[in-house]
Order: sequence, then structure tokens, then C-alpha cells
Amino acid sequence: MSILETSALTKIYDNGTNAVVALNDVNLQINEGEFVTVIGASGSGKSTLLHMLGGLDKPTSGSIKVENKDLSKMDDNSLTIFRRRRIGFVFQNYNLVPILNVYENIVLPVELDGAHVDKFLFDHVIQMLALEEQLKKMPSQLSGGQQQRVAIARALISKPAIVLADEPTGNLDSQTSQDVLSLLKTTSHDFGQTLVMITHNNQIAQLANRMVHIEDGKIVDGSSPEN
Amino acid sequence: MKREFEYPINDNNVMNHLVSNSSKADKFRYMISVLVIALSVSLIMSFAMLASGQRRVEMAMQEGRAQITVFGMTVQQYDTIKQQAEVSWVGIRTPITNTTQGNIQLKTYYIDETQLKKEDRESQLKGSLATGNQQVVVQQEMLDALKKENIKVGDTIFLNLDGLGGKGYQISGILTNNRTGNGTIRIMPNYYQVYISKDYAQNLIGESLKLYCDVRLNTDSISQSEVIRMAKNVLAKVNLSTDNIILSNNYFTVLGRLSDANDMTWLYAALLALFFALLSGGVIYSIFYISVTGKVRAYGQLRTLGMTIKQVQKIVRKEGTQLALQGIPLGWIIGGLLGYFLIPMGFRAGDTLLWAFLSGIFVFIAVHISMRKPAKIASQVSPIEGFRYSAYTGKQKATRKIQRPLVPGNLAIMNLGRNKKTTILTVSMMSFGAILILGIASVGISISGLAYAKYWYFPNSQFQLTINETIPTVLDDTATAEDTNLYMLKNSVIQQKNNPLNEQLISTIRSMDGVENVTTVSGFSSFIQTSTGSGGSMSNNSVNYTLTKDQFDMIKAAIIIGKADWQIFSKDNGVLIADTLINTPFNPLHYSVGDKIKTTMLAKDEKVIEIERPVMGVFSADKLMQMKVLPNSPQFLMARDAAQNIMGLRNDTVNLEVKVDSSKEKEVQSNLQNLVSLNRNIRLQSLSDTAKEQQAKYDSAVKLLTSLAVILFIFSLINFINTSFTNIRTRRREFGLLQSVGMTQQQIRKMLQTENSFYVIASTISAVVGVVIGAAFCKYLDASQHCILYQLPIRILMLFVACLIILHILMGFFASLNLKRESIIDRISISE
Repeated sequence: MSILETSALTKIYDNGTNAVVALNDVNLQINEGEFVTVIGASGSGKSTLLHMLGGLDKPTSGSIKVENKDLSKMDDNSLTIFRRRRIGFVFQNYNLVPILNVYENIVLPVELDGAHVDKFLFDHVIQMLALEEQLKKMPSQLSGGQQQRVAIARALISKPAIVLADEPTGNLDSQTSQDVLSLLKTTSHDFGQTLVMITHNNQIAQLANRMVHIEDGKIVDGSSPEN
Repeated sequence: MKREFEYPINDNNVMNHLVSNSSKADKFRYMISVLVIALSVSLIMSFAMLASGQRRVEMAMQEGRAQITVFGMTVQQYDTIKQQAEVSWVGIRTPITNTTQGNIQLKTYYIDETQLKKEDRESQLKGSLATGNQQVVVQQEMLDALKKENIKVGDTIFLNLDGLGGKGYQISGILTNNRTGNGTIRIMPNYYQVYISKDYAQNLIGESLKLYCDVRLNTDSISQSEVIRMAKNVLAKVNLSTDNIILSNNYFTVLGRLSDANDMTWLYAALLALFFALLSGGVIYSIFYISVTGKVRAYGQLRTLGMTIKQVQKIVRKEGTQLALQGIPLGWIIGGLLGYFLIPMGFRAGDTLLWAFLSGIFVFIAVHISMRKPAKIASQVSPIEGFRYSAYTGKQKATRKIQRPLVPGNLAIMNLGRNKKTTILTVSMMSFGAILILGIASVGISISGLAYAKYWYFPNSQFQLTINETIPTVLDDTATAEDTNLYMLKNSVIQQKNNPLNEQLISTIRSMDGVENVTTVSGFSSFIQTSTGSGGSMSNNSVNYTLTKDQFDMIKAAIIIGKADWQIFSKDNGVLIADTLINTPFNPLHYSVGDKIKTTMLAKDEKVIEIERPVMGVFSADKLMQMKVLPNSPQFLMARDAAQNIMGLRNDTVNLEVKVDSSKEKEVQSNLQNLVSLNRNIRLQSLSDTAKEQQAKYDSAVKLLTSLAVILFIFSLINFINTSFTNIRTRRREFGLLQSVGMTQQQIRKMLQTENSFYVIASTISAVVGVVIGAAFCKYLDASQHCILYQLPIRILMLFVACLIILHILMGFFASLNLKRESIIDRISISE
């Protein structure tokens, strides 16, 4: 069943003098529980696509539907609330809040929503990610791999429908990269989540159920599960 | 040994380029730093210009002022004196007649143009001075009082100037405004001056017209004996002696004060400059501290690229120099204009240049001192540190609790704890400013000259009549000790010969409508040589109030040292002294019980004697005034019988206290003034005038302190605004990531508002603390000085809080604007 669908998604960055077409008529469909990697050269529009899918940016035209809700029609506030409930992000540079400890960073999206943390889920996630001993530490006291594990835990804790990962291993050494990837894959599988990951590493891309190729803002391959 | 790579380099070009780029990159910080420097320079400069300008104005006013008044001069003598080389100018102001017309009093004067000019009243005269027998100059107030507002120059007015019923006079001029102070005319109800010509004055008086002239001699000396010596020479040429002159109190006291104040003025100016320099230094330090810690990554990069520690320091210092070089001239312009407009008459180009130079140097040094620490921090950044550093790295230690509630308010508190030093500096500056403003405001609106005057001088009445101490006698170097003593005891002479405070006067006052009570106070003038602790002595010419047995019993409770035995006190000419005269760490006077006080006083038949009076007790001046037995804070008290025995006085009244119905105070005042104008040996003092004088002293101190507190607060606000804005701008990336994980714009706004609220709430609490401290200080002042009519500064507090709330709203508005300007993607993409 399709959980995410874009139709004729276009994004043009126009600063008045220069217009750059970052995404051009993108039609993409992703099913529930799928692990999809998006590959493409630098500047091909991968990150823009991911930002659009996560509701971080608004399209110039076209639509994005997540669980049948059209993100392009939501106002800022509803979009933010939708994001914290249904979408988990993992960024290349972790993006942890420096003043919060590990525990607080993980539960932040749930707390911002005024909801209660699912204790069982939390314990399960931190056990899987081996973060039990790090909970009181501050981000600056952690290694890169540890920080990314915290970011993954944060992305999973609100039980999102989709986890979007933007080159999550870009800043990590190869061993740590492998650990992080396998963790991402395992956790999303275990929690029945859809995982969309950007990478420019073909080897990593191979791990997915499907690879989406993007070039100059257009999907050239893998736009739907049937392909 | 010279190292291989050590060679002289000229890095100025690249340094200047980097400094200029750094300023352009952070325009807000640059602007606010230049503003702070300009503000400091302008404040130091304008305060200095105000102080020196005021001095200049006072000096200039004294330059043209008369040193002596010569009376009893014939017209011929006047003509001769005017020609003397030692004389700069002579102005005539001669009283001619005193008459009444209906319910007003008319005092006729002959005044000449020179005098009018020297009294600064030329501009107030519409028309011209009187000539001939038919012309007069009148005061506009008199025309108003006579309900003849429409009368103009050239019209005729009926006046009783000759005391014979009067006649019609043509008005040659109208004086529009009476001046108060500076020795000219005081505004007194129902009392008006009319100016006539010399011819008419001569007509009214006959051949015996004797002139009163103000004389300015060709000297700037403030030594009385030198002026008298010069006057003596001049007067000798027209066969007049120094008996015919009165020295101008105003000239000698003001100039004396100006020369005494010189040293203190410098001290105050230096302290003020230090205060402003510290303030601006503190703010500049804070601005640069925030800036440098925010640019550690950039400094690290520069270090990686090969910049030495010294070069990093140089770059920071250069930035300071550049800011100072732009801020200081701006400060000169603002300060110069401010100083000029505050006191245009005191403006002198030389003074201004001197103050500009000094304030510039002072602030330049302050800027460089305050930049030492930031420069050091910047230079100590290692390349690796720079690479890993993030402006808001957060705590390095693990937290004690596993979780704190993650609501916007709590996040705000965590943010405040990120850079504790900056937060503490900002909040302490604001709090200190708020405490000072409200504390000073509390005292400022509560301090009352009226309360002070009532407690210490007028406990029982609104008016006092005393024996007038001004008699036209002048002492020069040839005066004998006897002459000097008689001069000092002139009031006693009047009291002994013909005391004007007699039964007839008392009954006249009692018969006035509105007078409730007239009380006599007995005493005498004496001249006391007071030895000081350091072995020197000072002379003390004061009124000794005397006590009857009943009064003695009443004030017994105020005696804090010594036995209070009336018999011995009365029999042995004992004296009670105020506790303000005993030896304390702050009081150099050296008296204790058992000491003998040498007192020069007037015995029977105008004989000056010196007696030794034993100190039998010390009374608390405060307690004594509380008992409301005597006015005017007495310092020495003696038994009435003893004083009467020595002086042989029949009427020993030295003071009349007049208590009036407060609704008729003005009316009684004008009646008393009329009464006093008929007898020059009586002086009228009013509670309201004394209160006003005291209030003026308080007001000037309060004004200065308030302006300093406000300036401190302005600096702290600049610091706060800078901290807040820098905070918002450097945390843009963080806001982006918070939004990406689901924090709404409202939640971010709320977080920022809570952060700002901390400062606003801290300032408000401090303001309330200021009110409490102010109230406590008022209580303390009232206990010792009795000068407080406490008022809660509710309005000022409300205004203060309103200003803070407006600032809070503006800051919130700015934050929203900033948040809307960038998308989440833009913010997340900002590299630290």
C-alpha cells in the first residue's frame, strides 16, 4: 500500500535574477515498510526531494501525499505538528540540540507534542542502539557514531510513518557507517517503518529494497515499486 | 640567535582587510559598539562641558558685579568718584520715598541707566527711564494689581509718591518682569517699586539728596580687605570714609565658593568620567566577548592558515581601534552639541577642545583595556579547537537529572545557562540600574525641604522675625579688636539699645487677620572661639537661646551627657551644647562636659566682655527639636536669668515665632513683609522660603543621581539588546533543527520570549527591590535628618515596567521577523 506519493512535484529556487529548477515534475511512490535509497550526483536534487517529502520545504507546484494527507496544502503549524508525529529525520551532521542531554534529545519530538514517551518503545530503541550508558551525557561528549545513533533514536521515538535519512553516514568512518546503516535498517524493519535514505554511495544504496536515481531534478529510475 | 624563519613582515594590509571584512560581516555588532563608544564620549564630554560652563557663567556674572554699595553720597561726590581710575563703573539705586496708596505700598527709587544695565534689567524695560518731574517707570505687576492692565507707555497714571495725596504722572517706561535673587528685587505682594528721575528725586527730598550707589572697582580680587583698602582710597578723595560702604555679600560669597569648589569639581569630573568609562568598558567587553566566542571557528581557521597568536591579538585590537576611531568623533559631535545646548552661555571653544581631547583619550584607553581579555581568548584558540568549536556547544558535563521537562519555558532557562557569564553580566547590569533608578526615585520624590525646614527651623510656626543683622558697618585692617567684637555682636547692640521685637510689634502682629499665635524666644548673640581637635580654633558667631526653669524642665529628657541641675546651671552661667559639637570621628570640634567655653558677649552698657562658661551637659539636637520648645536647631543653651544678669537686658527676645492659619498664610506673609519693610532692624523668615531653599539643594543632588542611574540603565539596555540579538542570530541553525524535529514557530517564539522575560522580570523585581531599598533609605534619612514625606513611587515604577514591557514586545517582534525571514532549510544549511 502506498504511504508516500508525489505527483508532478516541482521546486524552483528563484532569487529574482536566477531561477534554478531543483526538482522537475517528480512522480514518486513509496509503499509502507519499504526501504528506498535515493542516489544521484551532487546538486541533482536528492536533498531537495527529501526536504519536500519531510515537509521541511514547500513545492513550487505539484503535491506530496503522506498517508493520504497532502503536505503542500498544510499551513506551517499543521505541517510542523504532522512532521513531529509522522516523520522522523536523520541528518548527515546529526543536528542534536547542544543544550540537551542524550535522553532529552531523543524524547524532544514527543515532549514538544505534549505526549508521553512510550517507555517500552524507548527502552527497546536505546537497547538496540546501545545508548543505555549515554543517556545523561551531552552531545559534545559523544563520538560521531554515537551522536548519529542518538539521532536515529530520536527519529524512531515518535513512531513515525516514515524515517527520512539524509546521508546519515556521510561524516562517519566505514566501520561506524556499517553499524549505523544496519541499525537503521533493523530498527525501521522492526518497527514497521518506511525508510527513505539519500546517499551517493552505490554500495550503501544496494542495501535498499529499491533505488531511486535522480538526475538534474528528475527521477530517471525507480519512481515506483513496480519498476 | 635569530631563528631561520624570523624576519620582519608587514602584515598591515592583510590585517586591515580582515578587520574591515569582519566589521562588514557583523554590522549590528559594529553599529552597537560604535554607538556605545560615542555615547560614553558624549556623556563625559557634555557633563564636563556642563560643569565648566556653569563655572564660566557664574564667573562671568560676577565679573560685572559691584563689590560695594556706597551710601550718603552727594551728587558732586558721585561725579568725582565716577572719574577715578580705580573705579570701573558706578550705578545709582537710591531709595527716595515710602508711601501707601490704597492697599499697596509704593517704594520710590531713583535709578540710572548703568544700574539698570548691571542688574540685567535693560531688556525688561519697555520705553525709557524717567526724565523731569512728571515721568515715572512702573512695574507691570503694579498695573495688574491696580487693575490697569491696559495702560501703555505714554499714558498717565495717578500715584501717591509724595505722601501728600499724589498726582498724575506720565509713564515713560514699564518694567515687565521682576527678577528674584541676585540682589535685586524680590517679588512681594502689595509692594511695588516706582522709578523716578534725578530731578524729581531732588525735588521730593530737597537739597539733601544723598545717593546710594553700587560701585565696581577695577579689581577682580575676592579679598575683602583689599577691596576695602581700594575703596578707602577712592572715598578719601571725596571726603567719605569706609563707614559709608556695605560690602556685597553676593560678590564675595559666590566668588569664594567658586574658588573653593575648584578642587572638588575636578574630583567629581574625574569620578564621573571613570563611571562612564567603566560602563562603556563593561558593555564593550561584553560585546566583544560575545563576538569573539562566536568567532572561535573563524580564528581557528586563521590559525590553521598560519596566523600567529600575536597576529590574532593584533586583529582583535585593530578592530577595537577602528571602532574607537569611528565612535569617538561621533561622540564628540553629540557631546559638543549636547554640552552647548545645555549651557550655551558657558560655551568656550578652548574648554570644549580640552574636554574632547580628554574624553577621547579616556574612552580610547577604556576600549583597549576592555578588549584585552577577548583578544586573549581569540589568540588562545588552537586550530583544532577552532575546527571543533561551535558557538553554542553547550555543557561539557553530563547532567545530574536524566530529564528536565522539555517545554519552551524550560528550554529558555537552559539556554540562559549556556553562557552564564554573559547572562550574569547582562542581568546584573540591568538589575543594578533598576535598583538605582527606583531607589533614587523613591528618595527623590519623598525628600522634602518642607519637612526638613519644619523639623529643624520652624517647629511651631510658619514665620519668624529676628533682629536684622545687616548694618552698614565695614571693618578694615585698621579696626581694633573692640571694633571687631562690636561688629560681631551687632545684633546684641540692637537688642540692648532698642529691641525692635517689642510688645508693640507683637500686638500689631497678633491683630493681623489669620495670625493664631505669636511666641517670643529669648536669647542673645555671642561670639565663641571654638577649639578644634587638631589644636586650631574656629570662630562661631551664633545665637545663644536661653531657657527658663520651665523650659529647662521640658528639655531635660534631651540631655544625653551630664547632670541636669537647674540651680547650678543657672548660678554658674552653665551652658548646654548640642551633640553636633562634641568630638566624634567625623566632627573635629572638641568639646566635652567640664570644658570651659570662652564666649565674647555684650555686657551692660554696650561693653564687650569675655567670659568662660562651663559645659554642663550635652543635648541631642534631634531630641530637642522633637520637643518643639525652640526653633532653628540651637547649638548653645544658657539659663535665661544668667544671660539677663550679664547683659542687663530688659527685653531679651531674639526671635518671634508667628503661627498662622494655613489658609491665610499668603495674606499674613504680605502683611508681615509690609511691617518689616518699615523697620530695617527686623528680618522676616518664612517656612516656605527656607523649605524652597532646602528643596533646591535636594533637587540638584537628586537630579544628578537620577541621570547617572538612567545612564547606567541605558548602557545595560544596550548590552541586553546586543546579547539578545546576537543570541537570535547565532542560534538560527539550532532553531532550524528544532523546527525540523517538530517545534512550531509559536513554541520557538515562546522560548525566546521566556528568555527575554527573564531579563524583564529580573529588572522588574530589582525595581521593586529598589523601591524597598529606597523606602529603607528614606526611613534612615528621616530618622537622622527628618527630611522625608514618604511617597511610594508608583507612577515611576509603572512607567519603568511599561518601558520594559514595550522593549519586551519589540524584541519579540524582532525575533518573529527574524524567524519568518528564513526557511527551515536555509537555517539548517548554515554552517557554524
